[in-house]
Amino acid sequence: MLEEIKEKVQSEFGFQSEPYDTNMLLIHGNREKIKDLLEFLKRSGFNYPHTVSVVDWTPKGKDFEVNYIIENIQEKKFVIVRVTLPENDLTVPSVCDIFPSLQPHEREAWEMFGVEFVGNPRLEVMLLPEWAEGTFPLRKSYDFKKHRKEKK
Amino acid sequence: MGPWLKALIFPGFLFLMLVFLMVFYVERKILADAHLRTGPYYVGRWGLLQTLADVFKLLQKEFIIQRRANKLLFSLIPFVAFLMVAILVAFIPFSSSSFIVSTSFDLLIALAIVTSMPPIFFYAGWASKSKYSFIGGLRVVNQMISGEIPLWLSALAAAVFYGTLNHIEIVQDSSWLSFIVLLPAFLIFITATLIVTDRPPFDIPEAEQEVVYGFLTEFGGFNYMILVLSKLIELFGLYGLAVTLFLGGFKGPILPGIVWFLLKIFALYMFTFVVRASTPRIRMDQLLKFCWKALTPLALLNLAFIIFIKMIFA
Amino acid sequence: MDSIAQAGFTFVLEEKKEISGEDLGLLQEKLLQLNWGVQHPASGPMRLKVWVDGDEVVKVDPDIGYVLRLLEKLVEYRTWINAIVNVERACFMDNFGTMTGYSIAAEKIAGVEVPKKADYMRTILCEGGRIVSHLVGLGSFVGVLGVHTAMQWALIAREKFLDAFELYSGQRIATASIIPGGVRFEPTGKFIEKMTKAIDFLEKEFFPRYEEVFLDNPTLKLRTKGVGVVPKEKAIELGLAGPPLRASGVTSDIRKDYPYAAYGELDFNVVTREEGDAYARYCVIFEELKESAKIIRQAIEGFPEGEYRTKFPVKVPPGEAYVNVEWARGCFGFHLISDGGTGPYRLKMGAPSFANLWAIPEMMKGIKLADVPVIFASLYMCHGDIDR
Repeated sequence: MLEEIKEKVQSEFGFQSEPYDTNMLLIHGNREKIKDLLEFLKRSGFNYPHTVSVVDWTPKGKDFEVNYIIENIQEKKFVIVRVTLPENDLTVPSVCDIFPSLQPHEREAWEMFGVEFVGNPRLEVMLLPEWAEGTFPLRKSYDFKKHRKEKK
Repeated sequence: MGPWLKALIFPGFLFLMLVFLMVFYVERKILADAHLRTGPYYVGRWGLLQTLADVFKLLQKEFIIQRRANKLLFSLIPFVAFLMVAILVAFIPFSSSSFIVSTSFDLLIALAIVTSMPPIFFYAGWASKSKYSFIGGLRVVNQMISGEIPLWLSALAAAVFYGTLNHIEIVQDSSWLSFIVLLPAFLIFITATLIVTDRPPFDIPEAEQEVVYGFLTEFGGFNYMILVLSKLIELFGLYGLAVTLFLGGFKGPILPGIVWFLLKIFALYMFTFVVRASTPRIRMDQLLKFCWKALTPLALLNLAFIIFIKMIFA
Repeated sequence: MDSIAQAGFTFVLEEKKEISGEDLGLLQEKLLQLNWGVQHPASGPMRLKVWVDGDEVVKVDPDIGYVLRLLEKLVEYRTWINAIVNVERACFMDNFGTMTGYSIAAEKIAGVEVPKKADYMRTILCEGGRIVSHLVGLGSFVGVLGVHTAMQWALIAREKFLDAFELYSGQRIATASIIPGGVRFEPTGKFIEKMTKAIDFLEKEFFPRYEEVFLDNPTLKLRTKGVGVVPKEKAIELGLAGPPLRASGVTSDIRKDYPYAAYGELDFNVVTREEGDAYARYCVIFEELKESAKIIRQAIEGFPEGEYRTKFPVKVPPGEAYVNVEWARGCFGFHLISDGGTGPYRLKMGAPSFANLWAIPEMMKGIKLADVPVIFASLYMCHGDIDR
């Protein structure tokens, strides 16, 4: 099952993929084709998205990673679609029209990391207080001392 | 005893306060028993003084009026409500001699008082000018009006059967036969009572998890106490009415009348507590459907049946 | 699908006008915005903005973040073993599930094999945590319908399990007892005995009593059947997790699908219901309690001898792992990343309650106001888990 997906992703999109753990597949995608890729995955049965996980690799000299974790709930297989984004251009097309339930997850990722999901209709603060909008606390560059609520 | 003393002490104010403290205590104890816990325990012997302590706690509380509220109405409503239910209790005979007033229109007045309660509670919700209170007030009107029709019809069935509206005469005329004939009317009356006084499972206007506390949300301290007390008295008055109309009032062997009366009321209360401990609240539309499609037609049929019986015996 | 993207999650903000107290008289022309929470008897520390038209709910918008602790950030400042303290606080109800998931992820990166005894112990603790959590879930579901008896009964049964946890770890709620490399304390015979006693109480006293009063309750059925129905396809599309997903007929249970700890060796069923309404979700929670009790009994029977923990390295080689565990409230995902340091570089917690929460706007369209708490409680969410 995962082998098939791997081959198809390779032939149709030209993306490299590697097995990850026992029943997962890690696909290295790029942001231009991410929507097509996710649509293809959805057609192949990966219909239950888990979450969007962003990793900030900037202290290591690498870029941001956005991981879409999607499960095939009938066959019990996972794919992780990984998109790498340069630090100065953190935009990625939103996939919330393909997987509507990823919309709040994208919103959270935007709030915590500042990754802009273009096309997401509701990028507003959700978990943070209003004054903390734009501080992106889960980034590695976040400084607890600097980002404090201003005293009146 | 003069009527003034009666109103103040024996079947009147003091006695009733004592009864309500006990009712509250017993309710908490029985609920606690159903919950498998202890209930009031520390204040007084077996926690008997716990309710009194709670009353004093409420008395000490600050008198809060919401900024937007209609101040006059907001502070007046609890007392109006209390006065009205007090009138209701005045017509209930606790024994052949202990009652405050007795006229030939007892039942009519009592029912009229019950019918005029919903506007009071609605105003309580409206005067608080708060969203949850307002919804609670609307719900009260909705629910009470649909509950009052079966209440009236079943109470009138008893009136038709006895041919009188005077409580004392009704009690004196009652017998085992009347109990059996009026049994359906009794069941309808009790159900309607639960609806009219919003007891669980019909506590929709005060549904804590939906509209916080309904029209009681903004009240606090003394005002709250009076309002809750008047709701309690309303229930007590209606149960008193039920005992008088259907269960033979203060009649009973050996024991004095007042004891029999309280015993019968206590049995009804037990029923309410057990229902409260085990029955989830129903929804407004379900309640309305139940009232208008089941309870009211049944009450009408019952009235027709009583008239039929009356025709046979006449 | 478009409908959801356009209307459920995408919240239309054109009616921002709020009604103040003075305008209540003109209610029939306007929508009334109710703040269902933060200080509300049934909401917990979150807010649902509920727009009502009379008694009918027009739309609902959750406002969360009141218990945000930023656990994912805090974990980055801890060592591998210390981090469990933050991980378990995702939700205090079932802390074992989250700790197990984190530990398995850390072990996968470090390449550490845990002894069999630790696996069994984790299973027992996880199921204990699930029972503890489900009991409160049952109680609060009946609680929102105005009956507090169920909660009290559930708490009495829960107390026995908490006693067992206390005996084992010294704590009742936040036990910090599962660490990468095994479990933190030697499971003693006394703990097993206490656990058996708790299970006995649950099976012999709690289940029959509860089933009789609160499962076949006609009023409860009247109130909850057909409320908040989610068909199978819709449940997957909305991304429901845990008991609500299984109540819609989707057989998804991480314990069965990707066995971890000792679940592969034990015999149990995945509880599913086809109806997908609030009552089905309630029943799934109740049935899962029975399954959990069964699992604990089996695990105690087959409890192996040996070490209860192995050494976990201070520095873990770079790498990453994505591990799912079937937590009490659904599938909890841990995306753990190591950079070769003494602590996690990044931990993403994929919370099931967060997914369930965002199904609310879609599920609560056109219902009655009185059904809001019922659907809310039936989704079986934990606020700590939503906000993290």
